[in-house]
Amino acid sequence: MPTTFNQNADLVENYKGHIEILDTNDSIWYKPDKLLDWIVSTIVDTEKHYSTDGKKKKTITGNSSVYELRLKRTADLYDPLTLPLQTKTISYWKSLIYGIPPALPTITLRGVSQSNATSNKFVVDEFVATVENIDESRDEGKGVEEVIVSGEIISHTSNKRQASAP
Amino acid sequence: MDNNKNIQRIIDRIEAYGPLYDNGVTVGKVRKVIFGKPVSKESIKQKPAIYVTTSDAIQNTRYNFGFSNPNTQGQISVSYEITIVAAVKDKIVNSEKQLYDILMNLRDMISADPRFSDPLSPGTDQIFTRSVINEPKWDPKFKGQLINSVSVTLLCQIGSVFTLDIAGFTGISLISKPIEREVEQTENIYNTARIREGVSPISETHSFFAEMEYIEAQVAAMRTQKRNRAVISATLTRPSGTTIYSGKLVEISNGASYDQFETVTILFEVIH
Repeated sequence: MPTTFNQNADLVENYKGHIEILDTNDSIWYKPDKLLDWIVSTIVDTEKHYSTDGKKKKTITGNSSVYELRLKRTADLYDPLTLPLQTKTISYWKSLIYGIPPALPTITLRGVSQSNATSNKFVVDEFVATVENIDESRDEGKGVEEVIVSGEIISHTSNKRQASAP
Repeated sequence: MDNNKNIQRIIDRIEAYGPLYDNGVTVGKVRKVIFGKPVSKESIKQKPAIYVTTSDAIQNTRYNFGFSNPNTQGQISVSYEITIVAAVKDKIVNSEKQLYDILMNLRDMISADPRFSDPLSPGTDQIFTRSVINEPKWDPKFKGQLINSVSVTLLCQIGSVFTLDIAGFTGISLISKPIEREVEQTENIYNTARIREGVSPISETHSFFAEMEYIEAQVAAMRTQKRNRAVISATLTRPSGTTIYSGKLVEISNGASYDQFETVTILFEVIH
């Protein structure tokens, strides 16, 4: 008789979650209040081999994990300085991307989810990732402009269930 | 609402309408028009005669509750009773024929000016918004006699009007109250906890529908304006005031139930 898990009582509900981004300029974790979408995809890179009798073997060679976040655009996503210092801002990332020579921006992110479980209700996924795509858009049919930021996960800190929020 | 003035105006119109009344010169035409209800139809010497008074239900507002501002009272319906008393000395059938002639001429008179303007100054001082003859009823006591009598109910609307000035025409009387909608389409803005914190404008629209009697010249002019696709001006007058709009005519629809008069409905998109 199997044991049931993945139950209703442990649901992770959207409205309870948030993300955090570390600004290394002031060492503060910032929580975007107008987050729309958050996607983390863990993607494995493999090599495939076949033995002489046809058996398949796969070997992990690395990963191409990515993330994407979509926010409503606000003024504080930008730095007022010509040489931006706030590392959580689009201004800072662009200053690196368009710099001569160009530099690849990296950010430290946390996805914080809160479930309905009675204990260890929080699920925290923390990683360091690049910023490789910044889509700033003003769409007909929407009242507020939006930003989509995505990139590749460079190193993964942890993804665990814990008793309290970070 | 001034019943004395209105009844006197009906009398004045009848007396000014040649096919109906000529002060007793022509046999068969109305000889006397009297203010009030007939007491004794037999005793009136100058027949055919017409009596004009109010109906038993003098006024009908059809409102379920009252109003706080006189401007919002709008239109009311009133009924007047027009009693025709016809009489001949020879054959009963001639009495009936005389009655029908008078009734026909009365209808023609009303159709010529349903708003009952001053006969001395046509087109001015209209006392009614609109009117129609309803329910001609025989007086059963006199049906089939040398004296015949029919009572006609004149249903009238009195009060402030909803009118529209558009496409070169002014004061077009609207049948139903205009339906106007001014809407802001918005996007809901939520915080991370999915609590709505604000609404942000996406776009706005503003339009009104108006329904009026189908008059070919007016509708043709409106069709021309619509097909020109030009920005035009329209003035809507309500009991509480007048609003001038700028915009485009985008829809002209017409139709009516079989036994009702033809109406036309327009949709006007307002541009701010």
